[in-house]
Amino acid sequence: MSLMEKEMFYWSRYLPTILYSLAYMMLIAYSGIWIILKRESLFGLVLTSFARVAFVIGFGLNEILFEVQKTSNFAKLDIFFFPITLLFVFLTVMALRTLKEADKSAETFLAILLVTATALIPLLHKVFHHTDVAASHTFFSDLLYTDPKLLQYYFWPSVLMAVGMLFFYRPFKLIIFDADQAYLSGLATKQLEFLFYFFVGIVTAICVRIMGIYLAMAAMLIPAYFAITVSRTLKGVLIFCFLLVFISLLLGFSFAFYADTLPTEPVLILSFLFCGAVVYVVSLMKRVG
Amino acid sequence: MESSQVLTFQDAEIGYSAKSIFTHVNLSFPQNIFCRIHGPNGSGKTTIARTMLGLLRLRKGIMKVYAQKRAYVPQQNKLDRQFPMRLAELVETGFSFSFRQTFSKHQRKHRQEKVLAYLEKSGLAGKQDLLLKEASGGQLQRALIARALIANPDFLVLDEPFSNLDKTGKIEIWDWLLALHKEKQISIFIIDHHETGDLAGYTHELVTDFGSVQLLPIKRRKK
Repeated sequence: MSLMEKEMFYWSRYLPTILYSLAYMMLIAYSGIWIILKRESLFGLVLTSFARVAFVIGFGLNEILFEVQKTSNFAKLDIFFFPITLLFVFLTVMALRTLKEADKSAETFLAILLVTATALIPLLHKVFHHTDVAASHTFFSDLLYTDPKLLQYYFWPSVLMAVGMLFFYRPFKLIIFDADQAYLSGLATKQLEFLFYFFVGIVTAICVRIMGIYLAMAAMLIPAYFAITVSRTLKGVLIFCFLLVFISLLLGFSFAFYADTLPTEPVLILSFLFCGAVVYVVSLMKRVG
Repeated sequence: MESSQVLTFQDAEIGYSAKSIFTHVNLSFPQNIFCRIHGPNGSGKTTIARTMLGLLRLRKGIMKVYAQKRAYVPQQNKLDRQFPMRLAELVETGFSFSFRQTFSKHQRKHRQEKVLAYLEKSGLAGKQDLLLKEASGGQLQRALIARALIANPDFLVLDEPFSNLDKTGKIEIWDWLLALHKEKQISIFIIDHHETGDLAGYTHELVTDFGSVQLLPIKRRKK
C-alpha cells in the first residue's frame, strides 16, 4: 500500500470520528481561551482531573445501584458523572473566592487539589472493584477507537453548550476582563461567573469522557495559549485558536496514520505544540522584520 | 435635606466578610462634591471607595445612594494589560449592558460613534486601535476615564489616577477632572497620595486612618 493509499484508507475509515473530535476539541479550546484569559490555567487542570474522579465515582455508583456492568448505558452514568463534576467545580470556585477575598494565593491550593485528584483515582478504582477499560479510557484514551455511539451521544449537548457560551460571549468577556466594571454596567457578576463555570464544567466533563484527561487538557490550553500570544483582538484569538485546532488535527492524524503503530493522543498533543510553536516563531519573525 | 446628598452612611460597618475595617461610620456626602480620599497605605481608602460603589457589601448599617449612575476608574495595575483588547473596546465596556443593544446593529453603530467621540474628547483621537499593552500610562488613564464617563455618571470614583503619569500628564488629567466637575456637576472622589499644594480644586477631604474615617471640608485659601 502506497503512502497516499494508506492515508486515504485511514481518513475515509475514521472520517466521522475525526469530524466529531474536531467539534469537541474546538469546544474545549474555546473554553480554554476564557480559562487562560481569566488566568486560571491551573484551575483548568484541576477541573479535568476531577472530571475523571467524578467519572470513576459515577461508574462505580452505576455498577452498585443499577448493576450496569458496561458503559453502554450513557444516561445512567451521567446521572452521577455530571452532578459530581459540577459539585467539584462549585466547591472549588467557592473556595477560590474565599481565598481571593482573604487576599491569599490560590495557586498552592489548586496544586494540592491536583495532587489529591491524581491520588484519588487508583484508590477509587480499588474501592469500586472495577478495572473496566472504560474507566481507564478517561486517562489516555485512543480517540480513534472511541465508541462512535459515545461521540454521537454527547454531540447535541455539546452544541447546546457552544450556543450558550457564544450567546454569553460579551458578558463573559466583561466579567473576565474587569468584574468591577461588569457589575457597574449592570451585570449580575456572581451569577454569571457561576454560569461560566457551569458551561466550562460540562464541556470539560464531556471532553474528558471522550478524549481522556491529557488530550482534553492539551486541547484546552495549547491552541488557546498560542492564539492569545499572537493575536491582537479577542475575535482574532477565536479565529486563530479554531484554525490551530483544525491544522493540528489534520497534521496529527496524518502523522498518526503514516506511522500507524503510534498512539494518536500523544501525536495530537505534540501536533498542537508544533503548530503553535510554528505560528509563534512566524509572528515573532514578522514583528522583528 | 437628604436630596442634597449624593451618598450617606448610617452606623455602617465597612470591611470584608472576614474582617471589619471601619465601624460606626456616619457620613454624609453632599452633591457635587469634589473629594480627595487620603490616608496612609493600608488604612482602607480603596475599601471605603469600593463600598461606596456597591462593589463591597456593608457588614452592618445602612448606605443610601442618591446618585443615578456610579462609575469607577480603577488603578491601572489592577487591569490585565495583556488582555487582547483595543482602547476603543475598553471604552465600550463602560456602557450599561443589555442583550438588546448587543445584538442590535443600529445600537452597535451608535455606540461605536459615541466611543470615538469620547476618545477624541479625552485626547485619544486616532488611537482607537491601540492595544492595552501598547498604550502608555497616560493613554490608558485617559481611556479609563473616558470609559467611566461614557455612561454619563453623576458619581465618579478614581483610584490613584495620577500614578504612572509624568508631570504634564498629571496636570492634564487634573484639569480635565476639574472641568468635568464644574461643567457636568459630577460628584468626584479621588484616592490620591499627593502631598502637594494641588488641593485648590477639592471641596472636601475624606481622611482614613486605620479604623477611623472623617470627612473634612477644605477651606479655600484667599490669594
